[in-house]
Amino acid sequence: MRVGTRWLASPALGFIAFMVGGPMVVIVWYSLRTRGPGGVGVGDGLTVDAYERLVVTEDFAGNVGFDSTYLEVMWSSILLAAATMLVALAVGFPTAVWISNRPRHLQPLLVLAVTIPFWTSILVRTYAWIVILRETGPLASGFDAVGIDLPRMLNTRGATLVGMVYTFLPFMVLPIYAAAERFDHRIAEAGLDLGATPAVVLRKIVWPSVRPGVVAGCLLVFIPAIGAFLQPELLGGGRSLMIANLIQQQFGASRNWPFGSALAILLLVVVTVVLVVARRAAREARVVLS
Amino acid sequence: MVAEGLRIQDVSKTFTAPEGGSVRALDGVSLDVGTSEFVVLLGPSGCGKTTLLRAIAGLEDVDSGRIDLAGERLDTVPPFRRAVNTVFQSYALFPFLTVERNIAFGLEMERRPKAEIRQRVAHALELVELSGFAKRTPAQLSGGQQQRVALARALVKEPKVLLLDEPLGALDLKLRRQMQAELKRIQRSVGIAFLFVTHDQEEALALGDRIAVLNDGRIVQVGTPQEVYESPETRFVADFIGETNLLPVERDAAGTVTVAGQWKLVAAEIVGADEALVAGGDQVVLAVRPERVRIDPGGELRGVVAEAAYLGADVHVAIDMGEGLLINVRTDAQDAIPEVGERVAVRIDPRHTRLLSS
Ligand SMILES: Nc1ncnc2c1ncn2[C@@H]1O[C@H](COP(=O)(O)OP(=O)(O)OP(=O)(O)O)[C@@H](O)[C@H]1O
Ligand SMILES: [Mg+2]
Repeated sequence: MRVGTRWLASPALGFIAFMVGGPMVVIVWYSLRTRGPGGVGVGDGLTVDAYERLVVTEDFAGNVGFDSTYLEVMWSSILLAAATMLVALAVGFPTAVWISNRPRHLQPLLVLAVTIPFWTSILVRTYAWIVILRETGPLASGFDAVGIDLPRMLNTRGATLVGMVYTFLPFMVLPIYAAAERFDHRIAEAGLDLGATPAVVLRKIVWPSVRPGVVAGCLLVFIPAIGAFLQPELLGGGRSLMIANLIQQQFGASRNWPFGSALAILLLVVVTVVLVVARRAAREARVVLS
Repeated sequence: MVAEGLRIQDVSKTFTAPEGGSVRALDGVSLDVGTSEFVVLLGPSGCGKTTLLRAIAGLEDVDSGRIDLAGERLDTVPPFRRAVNTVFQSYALFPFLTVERNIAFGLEMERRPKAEIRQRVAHALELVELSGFAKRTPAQLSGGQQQRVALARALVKEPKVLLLDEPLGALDLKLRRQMQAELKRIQRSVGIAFLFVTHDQEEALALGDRIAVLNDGRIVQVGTPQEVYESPETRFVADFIGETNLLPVERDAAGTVTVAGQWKLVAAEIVGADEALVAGGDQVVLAVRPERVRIDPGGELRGVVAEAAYLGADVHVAIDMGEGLLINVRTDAQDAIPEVGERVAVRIDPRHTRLLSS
């Protein structure tokens, strides 16, 4: 049985090896090369200059010193992703629980509603936010009509966050809904029957049951959010530089492919660390709570 | 005794169904359960058994009536403060906790000292013979083992009354018999009152000190297994518990009844005759158990053997009395088995019959 089905995984494994592993090898390889002629592509020499540049700067006099500029960009990406995750959790958790408590036949419809944004391109939807948020947009003019003067919204960090939450919210709602929908209300009743107050039932019975969904939702939002590129660029007006925008610049205007590759590796390392920490936290949470 | 135990008085509960209309799940139910009594709540599917247990556990509010436990009002107390515990129809074990921690849960809620919890959990595991399974999760247990965990989890709290909602429903026949014996043993050894729900009449007869028969949200009869089996008060009880022949009856002004158009007897000889004849009108039937019917050449009722089946311990014979009426007979396997098509006579002792009206 097992032996017979093993080969079913081979297309997926092959695809991952080729489409994920391949580019990864290329990026690592590029990050260890000198700059190419005219900044396009990479040169022939081998060097760790790109990695040095992540933390070190050299002034005109040739003095070498610590430089936190790029680490700060990484840090602000982490903060933006964390903020996105928290807001999405605050909005998505109640939504998911609410959907899971609707009558059976309505639930698929509501889940479908959550996924409606996926039907059109993310680019189009982000431009739509520009239209909504700009100074002559419907929001501002609507408030203007009732005599409230809104501050500028477009090209702010707030606009970036709104766009991010909007984009990633379904990834928070769906796994939490899946966990909440599976929750067996009868075990909550068993808790009451065994002497647990409603608050304790929530903490000791409901929460451990939906926690895997919450952890999954948080990771599904945080990880892509850390590399988000479109929203900071279009809604934040490029005002606050994020790691993905920085990487994009290296392959574009700045013409420094090795450095862009090194930044990409830095991002990869951060994401990996986050995953490992999250796994450990989830496991410890289980030990503490149960 | 009654002031000590559980007293349910005139409890009613109506549900509004989601598709409109309403269901009267409990209709003026009254029942007493003594301090260490084993009472079985027996009734067909949908008659309100689960609803009554949920009302006692506090998981369902009642519309009217009251419930007292040990002389104190129970139905106004929230579920987590009631000294009753439930073994749920679906077990409802906590899937993310081990067997041990499932059982400890209720004691942790009482904030018992750790050492006491450990000792009581170990004892409960022993009682249900699952000591080797403490570290497993519910998913790693068989249905029968899960059921025993559910039992241990409720028992360990030492409630005044344990409510069991068809706890053996999911088990196969053999395991079921085994668990019945075990439950009875456990109930005797812990001395807690059990209110045990089932729709299996054999299980009810085997387990109950008393049986309460529920139909359509009403208690129709309460009594010992012998009482409900030997002296059913209604047609429903006679029919639901065990096999019963319900024979049509005609009566005349002189107080004589004629059974199946053939057998005349004096009504006064029959148990329940007065009430039934007064109340029943034309709806009166004569109830007699198949094992109380004898095939006897001198019998009063005559018919043709329609069916004869050897069942090992006894023989089942169906006799066609004409006009579509069949009398079922159970006789000893030692007796001669009649041939299908043979003309036979049967004899019924009036003392083992009852006239039933409803
Ligand atoms: N929450 C509810 N909403 C509406 N109707 C309900 C609800 N709970 C129970 N009922 C109805 O009340 C009646 C009694 O239900 P109950 O669950 O008590 O039956 P039961 O005797 O336990 O049956 P079973 O042997 O099948 O478990 C049924 O007709 C059922 O459909
Ligand atoms: Mg039920």
